[in-house]
Parts: sequence; C-alpha cells; structure tokens
Amino acid sequence: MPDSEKQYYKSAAERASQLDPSVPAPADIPEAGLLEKGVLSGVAGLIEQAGELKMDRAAFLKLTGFSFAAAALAGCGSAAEKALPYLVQPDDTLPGVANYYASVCGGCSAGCGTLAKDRDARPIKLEGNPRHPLNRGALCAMGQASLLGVYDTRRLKGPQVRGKDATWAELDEAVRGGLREQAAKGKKVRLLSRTLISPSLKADIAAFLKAFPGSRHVVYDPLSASAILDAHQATHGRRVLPHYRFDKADVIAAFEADFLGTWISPVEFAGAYSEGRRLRGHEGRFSKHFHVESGLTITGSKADERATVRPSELTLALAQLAVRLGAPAAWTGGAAGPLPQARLESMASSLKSAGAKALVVCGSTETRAQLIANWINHRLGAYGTTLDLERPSLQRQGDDGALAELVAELGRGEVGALIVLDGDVVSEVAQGPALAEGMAKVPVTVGLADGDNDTAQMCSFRAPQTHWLEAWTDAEPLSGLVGLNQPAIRPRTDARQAGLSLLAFAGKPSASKPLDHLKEFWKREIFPRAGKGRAFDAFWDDTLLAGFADTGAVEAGGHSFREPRIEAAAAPAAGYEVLFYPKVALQDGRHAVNPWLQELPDPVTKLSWDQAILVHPDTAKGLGLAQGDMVKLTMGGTDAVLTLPVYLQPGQDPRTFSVPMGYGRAGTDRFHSVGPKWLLAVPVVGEGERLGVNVAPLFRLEGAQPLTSRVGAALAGTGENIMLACTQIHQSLYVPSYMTPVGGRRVPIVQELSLEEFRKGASAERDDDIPSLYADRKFPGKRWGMAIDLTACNGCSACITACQVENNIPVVGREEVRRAHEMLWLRIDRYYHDGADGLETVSQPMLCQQCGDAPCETVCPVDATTTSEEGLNMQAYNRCVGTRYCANNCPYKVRRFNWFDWPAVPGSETLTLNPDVTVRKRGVMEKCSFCVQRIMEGRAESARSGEDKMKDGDIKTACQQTCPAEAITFGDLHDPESRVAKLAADPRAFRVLADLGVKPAISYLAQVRNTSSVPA
Amino acid sequence: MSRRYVVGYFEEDGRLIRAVKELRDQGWAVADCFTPYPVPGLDEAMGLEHSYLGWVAFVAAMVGAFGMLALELFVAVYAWPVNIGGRPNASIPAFIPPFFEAGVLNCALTTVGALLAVCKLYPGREVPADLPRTTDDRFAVVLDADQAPGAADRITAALKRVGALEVTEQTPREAL
Amino acid sequence: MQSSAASVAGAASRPVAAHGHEVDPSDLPWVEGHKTLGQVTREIADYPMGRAGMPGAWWWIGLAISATALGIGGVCILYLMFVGIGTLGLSKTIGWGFCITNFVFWVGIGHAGTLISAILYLLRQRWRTSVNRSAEAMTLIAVMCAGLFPLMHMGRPWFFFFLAPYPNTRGSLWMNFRSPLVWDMLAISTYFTVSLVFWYLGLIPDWATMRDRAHGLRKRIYGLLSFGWTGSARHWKHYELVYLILAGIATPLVLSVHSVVSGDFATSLVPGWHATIFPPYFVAGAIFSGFAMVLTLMLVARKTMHFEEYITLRHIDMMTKVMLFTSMAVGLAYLSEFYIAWYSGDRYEQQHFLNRFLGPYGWWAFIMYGCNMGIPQVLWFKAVRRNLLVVFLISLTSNLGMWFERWVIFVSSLQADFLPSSWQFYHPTLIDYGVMLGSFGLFFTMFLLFARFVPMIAIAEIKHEVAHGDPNAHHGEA
Repeated sequence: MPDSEKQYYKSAAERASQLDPSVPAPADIPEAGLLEKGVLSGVAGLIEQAGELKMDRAAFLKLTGFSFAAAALAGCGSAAEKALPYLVQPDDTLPGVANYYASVCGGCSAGCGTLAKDRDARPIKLEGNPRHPLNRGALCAMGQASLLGVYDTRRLKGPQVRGKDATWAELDEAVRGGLREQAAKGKKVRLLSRTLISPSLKADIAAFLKAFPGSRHVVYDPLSASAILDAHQATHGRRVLPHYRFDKADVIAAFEADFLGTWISPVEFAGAYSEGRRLRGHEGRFSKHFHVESGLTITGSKADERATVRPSELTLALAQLAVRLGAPAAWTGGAAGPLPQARLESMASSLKSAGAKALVVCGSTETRAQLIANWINHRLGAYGTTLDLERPSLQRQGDDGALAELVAELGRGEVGALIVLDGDVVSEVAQGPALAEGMAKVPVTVGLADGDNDTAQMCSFRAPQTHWLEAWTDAEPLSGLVGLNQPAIRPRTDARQAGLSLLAFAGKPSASKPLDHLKEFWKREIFPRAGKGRAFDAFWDDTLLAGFADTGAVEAGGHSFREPRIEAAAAPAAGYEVLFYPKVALQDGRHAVNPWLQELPDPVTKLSWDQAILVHPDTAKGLGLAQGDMVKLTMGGTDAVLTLPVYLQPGQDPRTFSVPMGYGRAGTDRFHSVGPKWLLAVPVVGEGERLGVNVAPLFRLEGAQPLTSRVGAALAGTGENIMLACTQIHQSLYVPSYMTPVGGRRVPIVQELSLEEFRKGASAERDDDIPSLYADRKFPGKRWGMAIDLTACNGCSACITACQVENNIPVVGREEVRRAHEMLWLRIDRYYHDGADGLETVSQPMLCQQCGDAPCETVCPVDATTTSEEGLNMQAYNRCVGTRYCANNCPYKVRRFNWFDWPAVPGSETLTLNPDVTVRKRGVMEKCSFCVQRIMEGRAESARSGEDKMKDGDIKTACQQTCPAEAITFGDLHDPESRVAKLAADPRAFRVLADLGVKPAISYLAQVRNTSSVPA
Repeated sequence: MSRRYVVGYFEEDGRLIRAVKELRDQGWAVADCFTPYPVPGLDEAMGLEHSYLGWVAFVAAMVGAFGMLALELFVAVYAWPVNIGGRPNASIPAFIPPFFEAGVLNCALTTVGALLAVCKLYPGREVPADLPRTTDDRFAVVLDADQAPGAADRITAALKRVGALEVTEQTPREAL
Repeated sequence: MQSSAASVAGAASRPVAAHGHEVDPSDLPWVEGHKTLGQVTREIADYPMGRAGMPGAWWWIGLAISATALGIGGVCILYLMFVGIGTLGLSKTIGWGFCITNFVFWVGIGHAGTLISAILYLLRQRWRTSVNRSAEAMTLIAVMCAGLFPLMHMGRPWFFFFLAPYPNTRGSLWMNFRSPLVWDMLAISTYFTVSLVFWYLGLIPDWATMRDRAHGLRKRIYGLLSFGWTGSARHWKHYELVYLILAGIATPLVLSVHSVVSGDFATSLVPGWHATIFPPYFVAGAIFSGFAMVLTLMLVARKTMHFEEYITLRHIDMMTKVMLFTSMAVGLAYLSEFYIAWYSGDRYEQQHFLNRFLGPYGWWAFIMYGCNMGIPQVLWFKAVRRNLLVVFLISLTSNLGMWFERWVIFVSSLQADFLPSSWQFYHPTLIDYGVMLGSFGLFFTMFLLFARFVPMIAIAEIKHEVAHGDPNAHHGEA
C-alpha cells in the first residue's frame, strides 16, 4: 500500500517545526549554475517553431550559417574578425554534425569509457561510452564537467623554468642536467603521482626509473584505499583492490562506503547496484542493502536498513558483525558495539543466508577495519562471486606507507629531485604541510600539472602535460580491460604528454609523436594479448572505434586466505567527532575550480558553493545552533580551528559533525567573477580569496594511515548567521503536520512501497483519472514521454550536469542561488521521512513534465509557449517577453527565468556551448525541452538516411543518456511496445500532481524498499 | 451683413425657462440659450428634439464588440491555430473579456467623437459670440432680431417683461 | 438663490423647511454657505487660475517630497530595465512580487473615481458632485501608476507590443486571447481611455468658464482646452446624453476592470488564486481601497484648499458609509474563501489557507484582516464618522490593509504552492522599495499638479447642485 500518509520533510528546520509548532523555522537558503554568455541564436528555436524540419534552401543556409557563425564567434572569443571557410573540407567533419570520439574519462581514476562529442573539432560534451563494460554509457557529474578543464583559461601556455617561459628544449636540458647532477650526488629521485591507470604511461615511468637507479614512483590517493590493498596483502598475499560486483550481490552491507557517490568507481557501482534491484512489473531481483555510516550519503539514502555510528566506532561495528558471524569474541574486546542488536541480527542473518552472494564493503582507511571486512567476506564465501580478485581493480593504487616514507625522506633532505606528475599533493594529503616544507629543500622539482595548483606553483620546472582530451593514451581500470584514450581536440597549449616528458627527462626522448608512441606500446604489450589473430591495424581501428580492448585476466594468482590477526578495537572515546567526507560533486577537490561542479547542488544537502558543517538537528538544538550559524569547530589533536556555517542534516550521526573536503583549493579565486554584476551583487569569494577551507591537513595520521576523522570535536557559535546557498529549502517556510488538510491527506508527491507489499500485488496510488471540460487534443503521431524510476535513482546528479552541458545552462554564482535564481532545468528534489527504522530519503528528479494540458501555455499572452504535434511543451525564446506568468502557473516550478544576462565565465569556457541549443538572453523564460534538439537530430537523420532513426531507444535525452542507474526512460507513449509506455503502465507508476488535470507526460515509478528479513 | 440677435440675460434658470416659454407662446423662434450648467427642462421649453447620439453609442458598441470577437476567432481558429494548453481553438468563454472591453472602448470613443462632431467642438474653435458671464452665473436666451419686421423691439420688451436683467442686441461672428 | 435663509448652523442640526415640515435629509443642499453661482466660480476656479495667490508652502513641500520620490523611482526603473529583473526580489518560485502587488493596489485605488462619477451618477447620488472631479483625476493617476508596473516588470519590456494583435512580418504570428494578461491589457487601457474621456468631457464646460474669465495667454490656453464650448442649450442636450451614456458604459467597465485583473489570478491553478469568488471580491476590495484613498486626499484638500463648504461632513459621512459597506463585503469574501477551502475538499487550497494563517508569515494576514475587516467596524458609530482625524487614520489603515491583502494573496500563494521542494520566500531588494516609492511619488506629484492647475470640483455640476439642491429654492419650479 502506498504510504501517502508519510510526513515528508525537506530539511531539519522543517522537521523541527513539524514536530514542534513553537519552533520558528530558521532562515536558510539556495544554490546556482554558470553560464556561458552567447551570441548564438537559434537552431533550436527555429526547429521548435517549425514543428518539423523542412529543410528548404533558406533553412539550410540558416542552419549552416548558424553553425559557422557560432564556430567563428566562439573561435575568436568575442567577435568574428575574420571568418574563412574550409578550403579543403576535412573528410570527417561536416558542419552542423557532431563527431563522437571514444575515449577514456580522465575526471578521476575510475577510468570510465567516454564518447567526446565534437562539433567543428571541439569537444562540447562528454558522454559515457555505451559499449564500455565498466560504465555502460553512463558518466558521473565530475566526469562530464571535466570537459571544462580543456578550455580552462588558467592553463599554462607552455613550459616554464623557474617561473619564466621556456622552450621544451631548454626545459628538458635543464631538468635532465638537474636530475643527473642530483643522481650523481647520490640524492634520491622520486616520482609522485596519484593513481595512474595508463599502462603506456606506466611503461614510460618504468623506463624513466630505470634511467635513475634507486629512484621510485610513489603513488598516493587523496581518497585513499590503501588500507584495502594492504589488508589484501595481509589476507590474500597480494596487494590488490578487488573488483566489487554489486550486480551479483543479493545482500550488501556497506560500512562508510559511499559506493554510489564517491567510492572508487561510483558510476560502475551504481549501474551494477541498480542491476541487482531492477523490478519488472511485480517481478525482478531485489537485493537487500544494509548501510552503516556517520553522515548521510546518497548510498545510505538508498539503503533498506541504515544505522549510524561515529567514525571511531566503525571498526568496532564491523567487529561486532564479524563476531556475530563467528569471529573470535576478542575482536570486539568485549565492548558492546555501536550497532543496535536488532539491526545487527537482521544484517547477520541476511548475510549468512545470502552466503556467497553477500558482499561487505568498507570505506575505512584503517587496515584493521579492512581486515575484518575481508574476514567476513571470506567467511561468507563472497570471494570469487561478489569480490573478484582474478581481475582486480586498478582504480586505486595509492600506498599510504610509501607516501609516509617519501615525506620522511623529504624531511631528511635526502631527495634531490621530485617530479610531481599530477595532483596537488600538498593540498590533498594529511602530510601536505610537511610535504611542502620538504619540497622547498628539494633542488630539482618538476611539476607536470597543466594548471595552477599549490604543488605546481612550488616546482622550479613546469612541464605542462596535455589535458586528457588532448592526449593519446590509454587506461586500464580493471585488470585486462584497457581503454584507448584518443584525443578529441588538438592540444590547445604548448603541452606535452606526461610519458614523453619523462622519457625526455631520462635522456631517452621518444622520436615518435604521441600517437605513434602509443601505437608502439600497444603493438608491443596489448596487441599480443588481445589481438585475436587480426592484423594490428585492424585491431587498432576496432579498438579506436570501441574505445577499449579486453585482454582477459592478466595476473593469475591463487587466493589462499590467511586469517588476519585482529587486535581488539580500542573503546571509542566519548564526545563529539568530526568526519571529513567527500561530496559527490567535488570529491577530493581535484575539480574544485570547475564552476559546474561547485554550483551543482549536493545530492544530500542541496548546498551549492557552500562548505558547511553538517550537524544532526537534535544535536544542534542541544548546542543552541541554528541553520547557517557560523561556528568555530575545534577538535582533538590539532590547534586548527575551522570557521564554517552549520547545516542541519537529518540522518547524520548525532555525535558526528561532517565537513566536506575538496575546498580551499588554489584557483578558486576565479569565482570572484562568477555571477551577475549589479548594485547589490555579492561575489562568491573575495578578490584573491579561496572558496572554503581545505581540510586535508586535518586528517589524522595513524602511522601512515590518514584517518578522515578526529575525536574531541566541539562547536562554538560566533553569533553570526549566514544564508546558505541551498537549492531546496530556500527559506524556513514549512507546513507543519497539524496543517494536514481537513479530513484529507497530504498529496503523495513521492510514493514508497515495501517490497513485501509490492510482491503481494500492491501498486502505486494513481490520482489522474479526472474528468476534463475539454475534448482531448489528439497527437496524431508520437507523444513523447518519460518514466523515472525512483527505486533506481540515487540522486547522484549526473543528469543535472548532463542537462547543463547539453542545454547551455548558465552558472549563476552563490548569491544568485541564495536568491533562488539557479537556472538548472532539471533538479533533484529530496524528501526525508522518519520511518520506523530511521530516516528514509527519496530523491525525485524534477523537470518539465511536458503536460498535455499545460497550464503554462494558456496564460502566456504572446503564445511563446505552445504544445507541439508530438506533445512537447515548447518555448519560443524569441517570442517570450518575460511576464513570468507561465512560471507562476507551473505547478512543478520547473520553468527558469533569465534574471540577468548571466556573465560568461571569463575566456574560452564558452567553447563548450552546444550550437544546437539557443543561448538564452536576459528576460526570457526557459525550461526543459526533452532535448528537442536530439529529437530533431533523429528526425533529420531519418529523413536523410531513409531509415527510421527514431525507434524506441534511438533517441535519448541527455539526462537519460548519462544516468548511471538507468533510472530514466524516454520514448513514445503512443507506441504500446515502447519501454516508456510499458513503464507508464507499471504497477509502480504514478504521475505527480496528476490530480490537477494537467496530464503530465512523465511517470514516476515508486521507490521500493526491501524491508523483508530475507533476501528476495 | 451678418444677422443681428437679441440677447436676454437672466440671473436664475427658472426665469430663463419662463422667458423661453413665454417667448415661444408669443410665437417667437428662440435661436438658442446659453447656461453655465445644463438646465433641467430647458430643452423641453425650447422644444428641442431628443439627442440621437444614443443610437450612435449602441451601434459603436456592437461594432467594437463583434469586431473584436471576429478578430479573436480569426486569430485563434483560422490564422494561427496552435495547441495552447489543450484548449479548443475557439475558446469562446475566454474571448468574452476582450469582446466586452472592445465594445466599451469603441462605444466611448465613437460617442464622444460624435458629440464633438455634432456640436462642432474642437480645440481652437472660436467662440461664436461674446455673451458675458453665461459660463459663470448668467443665463442667456438668444433670438433672431430679424425674424419679423420690428421683432427686435418687441422681443426686447417681452424679455424685459419676464424679468431679464439686461437685454442687448449683438452681431455674432458667425451664425449661431 | 434664497438669500433670506438662515445661516446653516452645521450639518448636524436638523434642517427644517421654511414652512415648518421636516424635509428628507437627502434633499438638503450638499453645498453649504448658500453660495451664489458667481461665488462658486470664483471659489473653485481662482485656484487653478492663479488668482488665489501663489500656492502655499504645503504645496511646494508636498511637491518636493513627491517629486523626489518619483525621481528615485525613475532611477530604479531605469536601472531595473538596463540590468535585469533579477534586481528585484523575485525568484524561480515567486515570479510576481512587489510590482504586481503595487499594480493591483493602484488599479484598486483607481476604482473609486469612476465609481463615484459613473455609478453614483446613475444612482442619482447628488453628493458625488463635490468629489467626482478629484476622484476621477485620482483614478487616472492611479491607473497610470498601475500601468507602469506590468510594463517594467516584463523581462523584455521593449517587446511589449508583442501583446497587441497587429499584422506582422513574421507570417502568421498572433497573440493569445486566452491569456488573462491580454484581457488585462485591454481592460486597463480601455478603463484608462474611457475614464480620461469621461473626465475630460466633464472638464470642458469648466475650461470654458475659466476661459471667459481669463485674459491673454491663459485665455488662449483655456480656449484650446475648452474646445470652444459656449454652454449652448443645444450642446447641453447632446452633452448630457453622452455623459449619461458614458456613465452607463463606465459602470460595467469599472466592475469589469478589477474582475479582469482578478482573472489573472482566478484563472490560474495556484492554490489561493484559483477561486471563482475573486471578481466580486476584488471589486469590493477595490472600491474599499479607492474610497479610502479618496478620503485621504479629500480630507487633505478640504483642509488646505478651504473646500469645507463643498466637501462637507455629510460627504465624508457618505463616503465612510460606503467604506463600511465595502469593508464588510470584503470581509464576507475573506470568510467565503475559508469556507470554500474547507467545503471544496481541495487539499492544496486547504493547505494554502492553513499556511496563510498559521504559517510563519501569518502576520501579513493579520494586518490584512485587521485593517480591512476589523478597524473599519468602528465606522458604525456616527461620532467616529464625524471625527475627521479618526476617519483620516482609518483611510490610511485601509490603504495599508489593502496593500497587504494583495501581498498576501499573490505572494503567500506563490511561495508555497504544490511541490514543497520549491517553496521559497520573498526578499524585497532596494530596487523593489525604490520602484514602489516611485509609484507613490508619481501619484502625489500628479495629484498636486492636478490640484494646482485644474479645477478640483466640477464647476458646472456643482452650480446645478447649488441652484437646485435646496428643496426650498426651486422645488417644482423647473
């Protein structure tokens, strides 16, 4: 039975007010988006108005002229001074037609396959490669946003020697000399990088290391998984990261592992997790998910059963479970353990009955915790099914021990040369300050980063490497799965690939160009394993097209299990603790300068731009703190004081304060210029200031292990209160529970079903069979519609970024988010509910519902918004005069108004504008168009090729295309065989606010939770 | 030579009406009266016909209203029939407010235009005769001095008899 | 005139006719002081003709203050248009805020004028004569103030003509007659035009009166303005009919304007807006606020321009009674809204009304209900109605209350409609306040100029009143 009686709330403040009417709802606030300013006028508008594409000569000229003008304008930055046509048309470039290049995402070390969408030789959007087994077409927000990096105006233009521009020859000469000199002196040569998954680069590194005997390559990860590798070294004799198979798991128990949001390979995991929970009608597998964590993550919000513990109790909680499953009682040291008995029983019995199909994952950076997790997985027989060691993951290779050793070496002044490949190590690790101090003593420091960061700025030599979109390289995220990274654009700066730089430094410069260099490597290393008897060229071409090659398992190794020796965990200290956690969009902060990611509302807090301390509402009440109160956070073991605002976060452990990492990075001063310039404008950051505070130096080191938490935390209010940039609770407005309508029920905007009831035939409550005064308008052909599965959606927000990139949606800056001026066409609404088993969270993507009887249309005085023949609710920007009546009358509040001429991000970032979508001017309304440009492309393609390119599934909206959980389905509702039509008739389907008679074209599928005690 | 008129001035509208009645009883044609405000019963006393401007107003209202309705139907059904919120092309109930407003507007403008035209009023129009204080506190009756031989004197006498404050003979700039 | 009548001791005393019978009080003259026609002309026309000396300090101070406010508003509007609507406190959830509140507020104020001149004319309420000219002027000015807002409030005001049906070069491209905004535009412009014509028609004889008393340039100007009016009985005959026709069509027009304005809200589906009671509710509210504003202005003008004998305590008494009546009509509408929200079973509507009262911004509603429904109840007492200071204060609170009524209806409805995820609050910016200040500046500046250059009381009409108002004077004679 749908539980429409549930009292949902959106924020802690609201809940407090619901429970206690006397509590005044505190003020809190909003978020935002960026925009590239544009001069481009509209193909989309043209097409929208035409209804169908009639390509006569004039229209053709308009279209081609448009694309050309766009390219010319974009190319010149501000205005077209010279525009020359192609003298010789390149074979593979058609004006107005995009090329897609298979590549590998360099946004993080997960190594997802991508397709870079190129228009006129410029990548304008990144999409997942549908053929890639890892991410199957999906891509996270961070991956998509990393596109901006290639156009970043802050990139180095070329090599520098001691702060002065130099030629590559000069730089190579100097570095080579320096290295030789240091090596001769017996000083150590060290190479430092984050996890590298490129086999070809590793080969180059090996060659480099060979040239300098005694040199070493130190790998670190800002979000360290070193403990997992170390634990496997201890239990399985191999320092590997297992490949977690969530798709094969019937029962999942996760301990502080945000595997849908930030942990190791979230896109892949989200897809696999969804695979294990895909309902078809009343049928389908549905895994059971237990989650134990300190803060609330999107993964925790999807869990069927969730418990919170303090960070210091995590290991004990794992031990508690292990003991329950038969481990020596000494592991817990006799302590009671933080998990409630009922939850523990339920977890243990579910895991036991799932046996090999169970999976326990742990995100702790403590080896002890990982050892226990390994023990449990082994005990359950999960190795070999849900944990793959045959083809382990290479996505995290960092070694905390090696890094600690390097720091020690630096401290002792033993290092003569340090080459930092990528990453901003001094800002990313606990030992940052010590590293910086040590680096200052190193005579030869070489930075290969292509932009400015704190580490690179300390290097005497700067050898900028190409952006991954400009590079010929490869990636091996899983053992034997090698992605081929082909460039989507010529290098925009005088940069050189890292491998080639290293070879040059080693005095063995490669004579080949990057492509040939890579080809040589592949011919040598990859082809023999994966060639399958073809010629190399054919293999190469196939691989380029597919984006990856599968060489099969590389390392065969037994996995004899050695029982770990576990010492009893120390009893957790009393008092509050602080947890430093990665946010979905920023994670370790490597993309902190990316405005798309900064503005992306966090899936959990809905905060954009702001770094806030998350506190449980009850705790805050006890401490006398309210939303937005500036507090000073102090903690044990350090004198550091963090001054940040408080954000009330339900679902937080009551004794844990969470602080997001990834802030306070070099380059974030650029956001000073984001947002409209006007009288009362407030810049995101002050001139020259950084956004937020970097918390990495506050990680606690236990031996070599960086623990992202500290005990003995305390908050002290400063008396100041600020408005947070939050997109959901812009204000403290609430409807307390006593205001439930007389004799009526609150409207079920989101619906939840328990798996048990659902299996018995329960279905979602539908409220859309209402009479109409008007005869139904017939849509003679197609009727576009969408279905969104709330069970699959985890709120990761990849769709938001996809929409933003696809549709040229501006970034507006913190102040404008506070003022509820964010422009995102697609938002994810998040509702909380206090269930019997604790907090339940539902994420609901909300976009234009493309109503059949659209209330926005009748009120527009100028017919700027009308319904198309295919049921699309269209917006003609040219016609709009901006009365905003349509937005008022939209019950879903999905229309967005251009309050200002949003200023462009300075410089070349405007090159990411999609020429197929009009850049909107000030004063016009805009909204989701169901990616009409993609529909029109399909139509044009059908017309051109004579085949039906609009079959079910051929046209995907940007949000659907990128969704890791495949929660979104788009298609023709009139085709009874289409997936969307079937989903719309699913027992879980309901339409939001359908009782208003607006006939929305989007069906939502109710969230299902597996509350049954045995795996289903 | 232009015509001469006898003008009688009164201090009260009541006396003016009595004078008009008497003069007309005596067979004199009263050319016009001039008063600072519309005097009730004066038109009856002068024997003026009812104004026909009511018909002008009615026709103008109908033309305005149905003209607008025709435009609405032309636009929504014929010229630009788009699907707006699933509503029928001819959304008659929604067309009523413009229908009404256009009727009122056309009625008002046309009727007032007709008034000005009928009375030949326009900015810059010369005042035909100088009749002191008739827009202030005097009431004047004007009769053609030449409507019968010797009429001027007899009219003057009659006016004095009914209590005219003052009687003058004037030659206005144009025919009244 | 009956110069022998005893001087009137005061409107409160019981008038007794000369022959000893009590007379119906409504037959009493509405102008006191037994004025002669010439006296009326002088007393009213001397101000605009500059014969009453230079305007007093109050006029200059008032003009300085209101012109400054107008200037500030003008700067704000220009800034708004150059920089964008984002400079207002509007948001993705609240698309209409201060500006539309002000718009409807001013349209409401603009109701009293035409109501007084047209409806009371048709109803033969003779007391209208003393106040109709100013009330109509106030209407015109208020409608001008109102008209400002929707225009500058558009995202792209320079394309306002897109709202008009005109043959265009874009092929078949027309506007949407189903949109209440189109109705609005037609209704407001028609209302303004008809009111202007009606007002000017009434002024023509007065310009002529002034022309005939003036010399030189003034005479030329008044001559142009008077269209050559002479007061011919033949003209009066047509004039009176046309005036009657205008009054006749203006009457439904007045009722339609606010009904149409309310359509902007009633035809939408926003809970709190979506109500069939809106047209009469808005009209009642408009009349209430219009009369409050007329009272505010008249009380000041009466005092400063010494019109005590034209605008008597009885006039004020009548106006306060209208206010009392409309206040109760509005109150009934308020209560009906609540009743219907409950009775309809519409959960969104119920949620809205509970929120309106019990939500964090219940104080808005408190001001609205208190000022519009509560305070005017004291007007039941004659002593209160005769106490000008109290009446003046009530007229101010009523204006305040009516502003808040619009604010509550528009903003509290929008801020929390269907999806809680989008709920939002309105934070007005300096520009919002500046523009509002500007509209008050425009209103008072224009009204002061009107008071200075145009006869504030309809001379011809009041003469008729003076001549025929006294039941002892010419009863049955005409």
